[in-house]
Amino acid sequence: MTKFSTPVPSLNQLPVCHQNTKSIIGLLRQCWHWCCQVALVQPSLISYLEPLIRLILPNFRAQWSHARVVDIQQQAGFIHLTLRPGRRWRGFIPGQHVQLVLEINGRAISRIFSISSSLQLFQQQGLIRLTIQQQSKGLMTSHLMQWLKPAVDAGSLSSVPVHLSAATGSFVLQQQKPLLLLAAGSGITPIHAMLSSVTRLTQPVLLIYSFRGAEQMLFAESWRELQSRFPLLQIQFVDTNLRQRLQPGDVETWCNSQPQCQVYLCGPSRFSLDWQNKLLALGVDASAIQQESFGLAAVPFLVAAAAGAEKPESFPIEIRQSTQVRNISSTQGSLLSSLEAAGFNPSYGCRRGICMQCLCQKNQGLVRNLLTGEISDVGPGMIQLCISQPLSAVELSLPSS
Amino acid sequence: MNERINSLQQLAMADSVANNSHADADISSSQSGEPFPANSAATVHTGHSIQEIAASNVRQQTGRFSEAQASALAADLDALASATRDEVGSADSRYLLKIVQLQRVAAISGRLLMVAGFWSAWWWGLGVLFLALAKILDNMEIGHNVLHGQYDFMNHPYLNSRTFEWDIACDAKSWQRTHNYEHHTYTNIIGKDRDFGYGLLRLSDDFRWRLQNSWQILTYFLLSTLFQWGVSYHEMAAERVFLGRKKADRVSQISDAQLKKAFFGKGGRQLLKDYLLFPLLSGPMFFPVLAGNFLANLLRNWWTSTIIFCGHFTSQVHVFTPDVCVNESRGHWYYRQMLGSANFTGPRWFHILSGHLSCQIEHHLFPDLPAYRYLQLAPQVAAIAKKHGIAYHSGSFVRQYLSVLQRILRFSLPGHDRQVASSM
Repeated sequence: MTKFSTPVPSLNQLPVCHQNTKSIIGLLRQCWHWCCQVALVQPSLISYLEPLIRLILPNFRAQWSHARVVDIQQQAGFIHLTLRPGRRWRGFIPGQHVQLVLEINGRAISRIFSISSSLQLFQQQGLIRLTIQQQSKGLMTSHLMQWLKPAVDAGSLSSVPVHLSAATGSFVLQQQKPLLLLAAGSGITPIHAMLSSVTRLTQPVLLIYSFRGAEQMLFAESWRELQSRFPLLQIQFVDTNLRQRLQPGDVETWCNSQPQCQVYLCGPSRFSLDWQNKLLALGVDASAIQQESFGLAAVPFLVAAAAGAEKPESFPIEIRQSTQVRNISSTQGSLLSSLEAAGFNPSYGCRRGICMQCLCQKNQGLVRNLLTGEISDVGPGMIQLCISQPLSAVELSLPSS
Repeated sequence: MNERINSLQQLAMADSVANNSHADADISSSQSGEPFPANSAATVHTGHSIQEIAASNVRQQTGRFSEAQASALAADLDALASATRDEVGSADSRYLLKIVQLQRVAAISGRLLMVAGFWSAWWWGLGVLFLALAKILDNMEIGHNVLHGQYDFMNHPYLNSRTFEWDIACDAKSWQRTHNYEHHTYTNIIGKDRDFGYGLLRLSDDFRWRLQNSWQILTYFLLSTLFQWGVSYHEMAAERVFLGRKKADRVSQISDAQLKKAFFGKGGRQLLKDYLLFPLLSGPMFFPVLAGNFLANLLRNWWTSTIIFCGHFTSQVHVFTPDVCVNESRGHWYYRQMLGSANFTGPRWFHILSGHLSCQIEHHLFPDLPAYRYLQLAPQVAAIAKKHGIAYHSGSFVRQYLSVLQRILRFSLPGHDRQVASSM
């Protein structure tokens, strides 16, 4: 049996719509929330008061809780960031992720990362660790190294405020069943949090972890320690630089010997998708597969486009609208015209970058601002569709209408 | 059904809108003698008709501003904008935070002081002033500017143009559609910018004179008094939700039902807040607090409408014919924004209370730069205007306001060629 105790996230951090409206408390809560919105014309009482609270506690934020950076370590392409969350942070279930927010030059930059450390580290020392893959064009990693590392190394408090959102996500261990864990690259982080939080293991577990080159292997000591502690835990390492490949055969044998096993998949979306298909083909029940993926697989970033060397003809655009996902290709010109050509109906106004009516959430991808020539960051951000031209594969979230 | 047609139109027009060539439709419909709304009830709400737009092409007041001049102007202004954009950062976000803090302090102390009016009417009076101040700051320096997306660079969870809501009867999204899109794109274009006269006031000889224009100074005072409701009803009037026939070329992004829901929803919540919730909370002070809230809203209405009228309705301000926005270059758009707006001068606190709309020219040139930067930009923009030989309308607040009243009075009398729209 996999067993661990977890603090339950407090009620007030859950969005109102998920609360049970049938209970009287739920009703009162909704009523209070509505009254606050009407009386204050702001989303909540706490966000109305936040500016005043900041007069006394400069690091207070309504939506986030403050965190102190304790340590930053670099390891071949990864950053291990150790944080001490403030008292308002309500804990996590191993496998969940948080939003890390840095405030640099008046801008809040936020990215989502899985917590990679164990629950025990948080309960005993009040610390959590995030393991972040360094991206060549990533804002977050460059800022971490530029602004936070010097201060932390000097042992002083950094001038850059760091905040955390509440931990969220359902990629957590749930059932007392045999486990098959498949991880690739930084997809190992939530799985490391899960396994290192386990206190007693009574079911067989197979972890297959693939990485690119021995120096990219994360948590090497931790794996040794876990294997000596739990005889039921088998770990198979796959170093793709040594031409090793994850063998479907190994997985098949495991699935045959453990027909009840629960599968956890975590890696780039391409990896997750491939394995999901293979597992389904092996006869694993779809409900037994839990997966978390990140990133458009191997986004063909066109760095040369910045130099204006070659004109890209077309890039894939992934559009998420409520629960639907659609893939289209970009046409010449702005993203707005690409979307319209594909039959979407995003709101727009002036179509020349003045009115902000076509402001849209970009989850990832590079875009060029046609007015200023500015090139965006690869991560999430808001863009004006009418003056944005894709320079790579782009993922957008459209409001449902 | 309407919604369906609109969305179809929208698709069909997607390309033509890109070139702004639906301005053609506007002209042709008026030329082809599409009748002015015949019934008088509709007339009030449909705004004034466009008179002989084609003829006004002949009387060019401003003279031609050539494409070469326009691109030189655009180069200078773009360089200024990009230099300023590079500076935008923590100073701007700290400033916004300070203003929000001031607004919160004013709002909370205003509401409490009004209740303290139980002991002395002086407290009540002070409370009204504080609440009015809070509402003015919320609407002008915070709401207007945040809803323009000026502070979106901060990635703030609620001080951003997508989710912010303000303490005024008008729904923020509706205001963004009419103000950010229509007013800022088609500034002072007769027949396309409803903000020019709000369909109620005749402010140039492009509009046919009607009897009701003779007492339009009174209409102006009434509009000023009910300003928040005027702003709130603005989009419904443009869409002819209750009165009048829809304009043939109008592209609606939103159905009438959604418009009504936003109008009554937001307006209702505001009424509930100021005239029931807070009075009830103050117990025995129910009626004084109700009256105080009413007065604070009134003060805010007068203040905002006065400031806004000074931005585009002074006598120096130019108006334009609809043909100017056909394939309009960025330079010509800049040029139109400069001639179509007017600044006024005053002390620093005056600029803050006006939401920096005292720098209307800078705001119209760079609507997405934080307003905090406008005072710093003003002398540079004035220098660029001088270099390119473009009028830079500025004056003291009193002078500009008197000039607005003069314009309202002047065009309440019939006339022909005193001031008409020009092409470029």
